[in-house]
Amino acid sequence: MSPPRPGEKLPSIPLGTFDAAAIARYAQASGDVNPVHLDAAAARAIGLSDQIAHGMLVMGRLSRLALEWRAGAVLEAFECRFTRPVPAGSTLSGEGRVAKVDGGRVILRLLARDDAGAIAVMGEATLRLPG
Amino acid sequence: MPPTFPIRFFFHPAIRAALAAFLPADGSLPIHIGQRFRYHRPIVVGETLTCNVSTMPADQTRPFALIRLDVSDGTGAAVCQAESEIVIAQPGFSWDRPR
Repeated sequence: MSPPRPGEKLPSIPLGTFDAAAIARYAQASGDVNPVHLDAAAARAIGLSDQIAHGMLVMGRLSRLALEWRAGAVLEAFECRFTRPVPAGSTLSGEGRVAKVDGGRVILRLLARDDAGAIAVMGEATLRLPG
Repeated sequence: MPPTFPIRFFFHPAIRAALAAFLPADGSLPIHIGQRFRYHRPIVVGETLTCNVSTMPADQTRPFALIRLDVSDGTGAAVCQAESEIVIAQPGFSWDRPR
């Protein structure tokens, strides 16, 4: 496999649909039962259009981009900003590129976009490459 | 374990109790707007870990609260850090508000 270079694009991946059932399963698994994720009326009461997916659910699915990019790479840091709500029923895709290569470390910039192309999550992953 | 697994620790009853001050009982809801993890090593299934929680409430210079977990193992060695950015949303909340 060729060495990574800044600007290199990662293969885009589907992140799937964040429907109410998936959100409910994640709430149970994570312990995050905030009504904003589970109760459409509660979400609307604060001005959202509907119940929303957990940012951590999106972040978890987006992490696959970094984890599956290079075999043997070790994830040293991972951060995301949740830039817009992901209402129940949204379908997202993930994309990324190499932002920086510094010796054996690589910084990836990651994005999750909705069907309209709007950015829902902006992320950065720091990987240490094997060898 | 998955890299986002440490978020599970935020919902341990003892940590939830420590965070109660961030959750005013007036109908407002916490909204997670950012998350950072730093990993020193992977978390292994079956091990026992300790979390130290620290908080910084929102103020005039930073319109969101920060909650940080420092996770260590039985030897005291650091395993990971997790830092969450939280805003408290009240009726009329706008996600697009500058922050």
